[in-house]
Amino acid sequence: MTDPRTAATAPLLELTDLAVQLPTGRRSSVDAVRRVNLRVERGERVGIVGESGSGKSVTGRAIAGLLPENPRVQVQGSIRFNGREMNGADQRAWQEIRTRRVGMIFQDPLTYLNPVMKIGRQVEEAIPAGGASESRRRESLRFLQLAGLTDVEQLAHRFPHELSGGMRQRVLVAIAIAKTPDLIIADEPTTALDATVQALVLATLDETVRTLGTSLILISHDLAVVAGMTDRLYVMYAGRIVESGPTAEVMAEPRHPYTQALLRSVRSLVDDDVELYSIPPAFRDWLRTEGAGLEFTTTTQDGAR
Amino acid sequence: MKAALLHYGRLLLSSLLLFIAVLTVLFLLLEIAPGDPIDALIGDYPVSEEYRAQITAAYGLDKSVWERYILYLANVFQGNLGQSFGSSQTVVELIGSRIWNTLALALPAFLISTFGGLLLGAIAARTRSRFLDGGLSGLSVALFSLPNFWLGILLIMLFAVTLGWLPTQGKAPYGQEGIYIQYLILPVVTMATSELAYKARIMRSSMIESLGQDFVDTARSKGLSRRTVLWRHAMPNALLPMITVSGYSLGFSLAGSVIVEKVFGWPGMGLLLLDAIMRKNNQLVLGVVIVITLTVIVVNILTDIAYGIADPRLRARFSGKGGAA
Amino acid sequence: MSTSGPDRDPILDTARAALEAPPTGLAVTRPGGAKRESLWRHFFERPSTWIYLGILAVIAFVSFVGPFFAGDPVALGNPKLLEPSLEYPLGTDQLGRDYLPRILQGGQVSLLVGFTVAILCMTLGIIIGGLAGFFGGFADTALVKVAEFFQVLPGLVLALVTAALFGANVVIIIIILSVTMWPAVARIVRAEAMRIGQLGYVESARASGFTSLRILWSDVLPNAMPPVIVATTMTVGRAILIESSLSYIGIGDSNRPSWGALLNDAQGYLANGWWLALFPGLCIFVVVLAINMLGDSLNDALNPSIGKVK
Repeated sequence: MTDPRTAATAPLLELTDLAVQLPTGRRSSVDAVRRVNLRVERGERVGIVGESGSGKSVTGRAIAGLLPENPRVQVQGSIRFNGREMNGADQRAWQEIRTRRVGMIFQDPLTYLNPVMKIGRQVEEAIPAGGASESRRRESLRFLQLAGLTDVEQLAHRFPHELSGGMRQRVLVAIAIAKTPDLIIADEPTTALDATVQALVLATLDETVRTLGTSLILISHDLAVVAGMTDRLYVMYAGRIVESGPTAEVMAEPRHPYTQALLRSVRSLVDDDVELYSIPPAFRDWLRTEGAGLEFTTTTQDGAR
Repeated sequence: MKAALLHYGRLLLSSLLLFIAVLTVLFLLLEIAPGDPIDALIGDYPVSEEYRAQITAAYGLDKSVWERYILYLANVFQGNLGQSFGSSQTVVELIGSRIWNTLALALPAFLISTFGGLLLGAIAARTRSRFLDGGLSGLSVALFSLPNFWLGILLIMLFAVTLGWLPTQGKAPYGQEGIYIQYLILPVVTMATSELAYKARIMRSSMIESLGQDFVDTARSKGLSRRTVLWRHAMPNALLPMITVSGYSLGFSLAGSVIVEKVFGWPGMGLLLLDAIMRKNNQLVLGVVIVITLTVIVVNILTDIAYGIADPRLRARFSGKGGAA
Repeated sequence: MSTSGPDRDPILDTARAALEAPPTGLAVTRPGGAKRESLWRHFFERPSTWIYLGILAVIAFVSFVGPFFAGDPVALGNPKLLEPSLEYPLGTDQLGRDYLPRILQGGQVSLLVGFTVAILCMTLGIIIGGLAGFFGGFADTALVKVAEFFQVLPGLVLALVTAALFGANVVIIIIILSVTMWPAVARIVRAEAMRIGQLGYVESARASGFTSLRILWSDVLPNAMPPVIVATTMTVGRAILIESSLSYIGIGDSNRPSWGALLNDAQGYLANGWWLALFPGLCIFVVVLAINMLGDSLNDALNPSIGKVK
């Protein structure tokens, strides 16, 4: 079923047959991403779920153009923003994207903030150029507030190590939204945080995205995190998408054995009645051989994939 | 505030203990050196019996080891490093007259090697040309492997003997006082070179590590240009370990100045030390070594303070603003 | 709602069956075996390694065997201050001695001192550093303090003082240099021992009942070797540089002058005997350079850190 796409109806982001190879040794490489087809519409929230090594983070970085600057890193396939092809585009085009269109929230707020630069300045940097310094300063404070921080005047003069983990993560959120992007990619935004703080930060993220109307790609290994916040879901394993569809439906009726296994292991953790379950090696062998390439897509009501 | 006091208090205390340890080791070396301890002190100088008696009394050589030890420590801490034999000057006076000459070499060499090293290291780290990086790396290993006295001799052979552009020895034309610039050039270059190579290597790896840090990704994600990321984010973080390295390398360069002063006949502390060794003027030898050690200890303390100021994570020590969980 | 993707029920059944399989038990894997070998192999595969080893072997050979063939280093009969020629490949010195055998002999002391010091440092460093890093406590603090001591009182200076008081000979120099340089190696061993001691398999070895000492010997230390070997290699170079500095100043065995001492003599003849200053220094340079390059090569091979991919 094809429907003609015009610029007006083109999705905000569309990945077609994306593949990424990363160097792992002097002469060896690994297929971090094998073949990913993914899209995000305006205002949509999409989740990418998978274990470590599944390629979900690499996918996120490929979208933002933040793969390592190593000539041995290879990207094939199509990355389209608003219909515009980005793979193979020059530095300037990518810089435009990173400056204004795509904001990224990273995993570990301690290491992802510059330890010797004040918070206020780090947020200000993210605001696209232009405007007097005074107004930029005010803007940066506003974004810090939007990200759920209080007492921002004080905070702006502090250094990262003076803040708590939750506060630092919110600074990362502020940095991402400071450019008023069309798309925010959050890569494991709560993994480094305590359980109690996780919920708070997620709530902040939820609120912020809702207020600004940006699209969101939420990447996590934690199904619970993704389930609560996304409209659609992609499940990745070993560099491939094994299942996709509306979040509620995928969670209720997973079709791919891997999704089923994932759900089962999460439930086994949460539910006292269910026996503790971890994915057996035999299953992984199967995934690697016969089960490779198996992909289940649940389409939505209007027939879109 | 309290944390700062505690830290620096401890630092001063351990520095003091270190200094005493060095003094003790030197004392012990003197004690177990072969021969009569008075001979060890006097060396080869022909002295009268009365003088011997005087020395024996003055240094308490007729007393027990412990008493001598305490006396020795007391003397040092009062700034009394003894008398230089064969001269009317005290050790302190002698050292005082020469120390500026050594500083005239050591300070420019320090500045040149530090800034040069930082610059070259940063260039080597950021360049995408493997040729340039490899070349600079190779150059720094070569300079690092070069015996500094040979470098000095080669420079003399080339610039002074063959080309005649610069003088061969000393710090001033014969009979003149003070330090003349053209005499300063070769010794400073010699001293600076191997230090520069060492610092460049360290800076390069510090920079590469800094560039590999996560916050660089965040900076890139803001759409900042490669240059901005380098200078505003990677560089300041890479400089922090360099403070420590630079400070601690002073000890090496002070030792190295001994050699360089010999090569160029530069009348500084190093040459004084060598001279004293040759003449077995052991009081003077000890005195110079004590001064060198003290200098290094003081520089170490200053380096620690400098680092504490530079790194905002440590500045918390001063203000009491600690890091929350 | 429709599904796309191949419809392969029998395979799904297999998958579901595999899903039911129980997880396997924990296995204690001991890293180090295969990985270590491949690192060494990597090192020896590089052509540069062999070049440097070759240079060092040639120099060592020539230094210790050469003198038997080259002539008498102390014989005075030759014409004085002759430039290098076919008859006197490295010229003659100011006293009419053939320079070639003198250079060859000079290598003996430098190389001997360099390697002996390095071996002593490595031994002491491994023992003390390993104990300090693995067991911590008193040994650890003591080691840190000793290292600080020698940073404040540089080896060269201490050697000067000792030589002044005790006289200068090869043995004393070796002892002093070893004493001042072992803390640096020990610190590396300590850091590695601490790091490896934290790893999981050490804990499991302990749980299996091995004594701490046994673990240190058979597990921790072998895996700590790569940076230690690099450090020891560099120590050879540094020791040779310090030894030649000392002999340049005049602290060394006057009967068997090492390269530094030759340079000292040469300084009076820079105008008319350039070869006297060139060759000894060149030898020191080449040897130390080869050693440092070897060390770098070792470092690259044994501590692989390719452009980090996150």
